[in-house]
Amino acid sequence: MGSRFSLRAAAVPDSLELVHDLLGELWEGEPGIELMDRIRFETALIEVASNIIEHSRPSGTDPVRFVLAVECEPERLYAEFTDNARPAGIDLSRAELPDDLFASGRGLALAKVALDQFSYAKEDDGNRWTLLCRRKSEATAPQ
Amino acid sequence: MIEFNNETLANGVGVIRPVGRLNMVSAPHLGANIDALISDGTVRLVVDLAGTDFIDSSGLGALITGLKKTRQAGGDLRLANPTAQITAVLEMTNLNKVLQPVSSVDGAY
Repeated sequence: MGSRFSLRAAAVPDSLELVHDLLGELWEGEPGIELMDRIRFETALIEVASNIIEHSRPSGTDPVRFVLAVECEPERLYAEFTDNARPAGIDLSRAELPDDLFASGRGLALAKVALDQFSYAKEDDGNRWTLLCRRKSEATAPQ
Repeated sequence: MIEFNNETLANGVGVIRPVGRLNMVSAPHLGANIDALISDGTVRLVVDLAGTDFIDSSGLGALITGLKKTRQAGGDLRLANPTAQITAVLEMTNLNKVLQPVSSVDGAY
């Protein structure tokens, strides 16, 4: 049981709309997902997509593109971003929320807070991010 | 796409209504709207978020920058009518203390 969606897009700001659209399809196809789970997952996905779009540098002559694969299962929402950019070498353990009045530097820290598991890996030909949100509704649903 | 439906109330409070999503594309437009009102001498602002479907860290950054600029000008920036996603994001980032939302535009000041 479960559903899967994916997209391939250029790492440009307009592609954020494609990520929202893909999640819109998921919410429509899986109406039982709790609002807070949807919010946590969508917020984190948009932060990671924004990070790829804003900070990625091409590793060669090809423009940067990313692939997003999303899985919805009864107990979890899972997403994986892979891209062909120059490996970024991000250390998520250092992604912490800044002081309240700092205007920037909050994106990956927000994704980290929103998710139950969040990983980044530098690969030979790009970067891979995995995002997992355990569905709270399963644990808290009345018996 | 995002639209801004702004107005200035009789008591001089400027209301900014972003309709759509506040993200890395649209956050600079929110900043420009705030700057324009401050330049006109309107420094008590309310951002009415009833029509704002989604906010990301760029949108939060624009609100924080607006808060600092209005306070430096002797005013303030307050939020009204946050949607569920915005309320959750303010809580997750602990910004609900400095950007404490109020339930209505009329009650903001």
